[in-house]
Amino acid sequence: MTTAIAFRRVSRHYGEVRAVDAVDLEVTEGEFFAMLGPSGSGKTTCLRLVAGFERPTAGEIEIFGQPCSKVPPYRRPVNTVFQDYALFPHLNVRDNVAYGLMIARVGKAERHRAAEQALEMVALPGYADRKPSALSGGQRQRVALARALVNKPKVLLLDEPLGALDLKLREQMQVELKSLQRQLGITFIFVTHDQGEALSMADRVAVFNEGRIQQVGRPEDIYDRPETPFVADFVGSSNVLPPEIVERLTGHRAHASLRPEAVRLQPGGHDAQVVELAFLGAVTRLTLKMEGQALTALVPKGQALPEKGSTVQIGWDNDALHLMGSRDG
Amino acid sequence: MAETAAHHPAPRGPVDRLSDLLWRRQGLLVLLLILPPALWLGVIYLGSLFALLAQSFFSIDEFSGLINYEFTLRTYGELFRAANLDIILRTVLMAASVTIAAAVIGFPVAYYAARYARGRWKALFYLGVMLPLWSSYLVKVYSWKLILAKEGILSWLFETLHLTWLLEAYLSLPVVGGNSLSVSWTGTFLVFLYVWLPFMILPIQAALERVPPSMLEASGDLGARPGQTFRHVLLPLALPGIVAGSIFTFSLTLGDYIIPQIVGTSARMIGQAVYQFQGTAGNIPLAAAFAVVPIVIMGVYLYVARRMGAFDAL
Repeated sequence: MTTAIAFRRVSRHYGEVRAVDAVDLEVTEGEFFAMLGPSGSGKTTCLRLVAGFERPTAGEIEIFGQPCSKVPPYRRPVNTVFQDYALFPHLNVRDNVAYGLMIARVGKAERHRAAEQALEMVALPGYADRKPSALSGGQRQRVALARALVNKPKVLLLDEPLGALDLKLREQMQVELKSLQRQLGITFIFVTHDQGEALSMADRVAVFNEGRIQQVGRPEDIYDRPETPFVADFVGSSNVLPPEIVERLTGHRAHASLRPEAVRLQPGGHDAQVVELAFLGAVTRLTLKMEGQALTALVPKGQALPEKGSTVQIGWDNDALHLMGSRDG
Repeated sequence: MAETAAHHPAPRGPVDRLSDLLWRRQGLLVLLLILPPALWLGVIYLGSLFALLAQSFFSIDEFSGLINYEFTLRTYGELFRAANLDIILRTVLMAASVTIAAAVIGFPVAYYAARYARGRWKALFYLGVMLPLWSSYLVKVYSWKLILAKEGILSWLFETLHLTWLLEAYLSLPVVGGNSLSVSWTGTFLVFLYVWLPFMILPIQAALERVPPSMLEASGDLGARPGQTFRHVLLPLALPGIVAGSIFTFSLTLGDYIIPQIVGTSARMIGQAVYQFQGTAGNIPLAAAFAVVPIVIMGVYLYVARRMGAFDAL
């Protein structure tokens, strides 16, 4: 397994602000890798460091083993799909897609053929003569994708590419992106703040917060075994129980994560007060208070719902309560 | 009723009633706003322009010096006399060189202002570009005459740097040279360039402001060196701004008659020709025909610019 991208203690500081702080990371060739985190967590800066739009304050980034802090963006074997797509408004779709090949001095007929093929790959055949301004958001997104892929990059960087699309289109593009990546075998690095997107698409996920990586792992590991309270809360908005309560429940003094869907209404369990109910469609979200600690529970449709203000009894399977190290308190 | 009044307070006074009326009939508001400028533009401006055009189709009786009010193209024919054609060619060449130089000097300044200047530096940029516009045009032109004169600041500077020979060598060149800079074409060119430069910088800056940084990053990401990004992305996107700026510099140079009067050679430009024909020579038809020349040139220029796609990025 070759390492495609490696971060070696990479930092990017803007004055006092540590946008990226001593990040170590390796992305394997052919992997669909997601960088997940809230806005301002450093994930986009990491992507821009790989693309070469930013230079690290300290540390080194390697692309296929080659240090590249001194390599400008136009000589890196990576291509980017921008959040705002950044299509050239004065060029039609064909010339937009063929731009990289035009720069690489590929002949006109050949690059136009390659552009048509790339447009077919992203399911946009027949749009080559249009201007970007005549396309919908989803279509622009596909053109941006084709424009990057036509250069056959070794690594494709995607900066929140689905952020501007509506929900239906986003879900469709998630599936298409994933199958495209399988089919091409190109390494994808995908930046997103949407945990559902990261979990459903990625082979591995890195969770970022405040310029640091909180956890790297397969989606199931991130979800089932969060290593820090931040990861537990950000990924799947888990209940994070403080050490005092966890000690009473299990005897261990540590933070613990308890997934809302693991909390059941169960006679004979722990007493809890129903503070709020919210109907979400397939499930109803209960906000509970147990021993002064707020808890969220998801009750599937069809089950009997308690009244607001009433006291219920709740329980969960023993292995649902996941103890965490306290890396960030 | 009292209930309703509490929800919808009745209009109080004429201002309220007027506001309500304009809200209900928005066409009326637009009409009120557009009417004065439309009258000004339509009657006074376009009217006098057509009067001018009409004059150019009359001719002058060479013996009596009286205007012959009959339609003729003879006056336009006179434009093609060698001496008059010289004036037109000279003016167009001057306007073109001033425009090109202004674009070359203005672009980097505009680029810096649009991409890098923030906060106080941006204010300083605007101040620096606009400040020359605040002082009188005549004061600026006469200051330049002093700078460029034979005993002026510039020749003193060359002398101090022991470079007088360089200045002499330049002044001995044909066409651009002369007795001193203040009576040479170079002098006229420099003053035009200085006076019209802000009109080039500001539209380019506005055009560049609208180019998102990600557009330039995308070009680099796709393998383009900065020079290629400039040629294939930045320049096409800035072109509407450059064309807008060049309309100013080009047409202002075409029509000006004061700068070439004060700084430059005795050979005339279009503006001076118009001034003399309608004044001392009393040949209003020929003055009008001369005045039509810049209008035609600008029309052709805009048509060509549009055909070449200068406004595609708008």
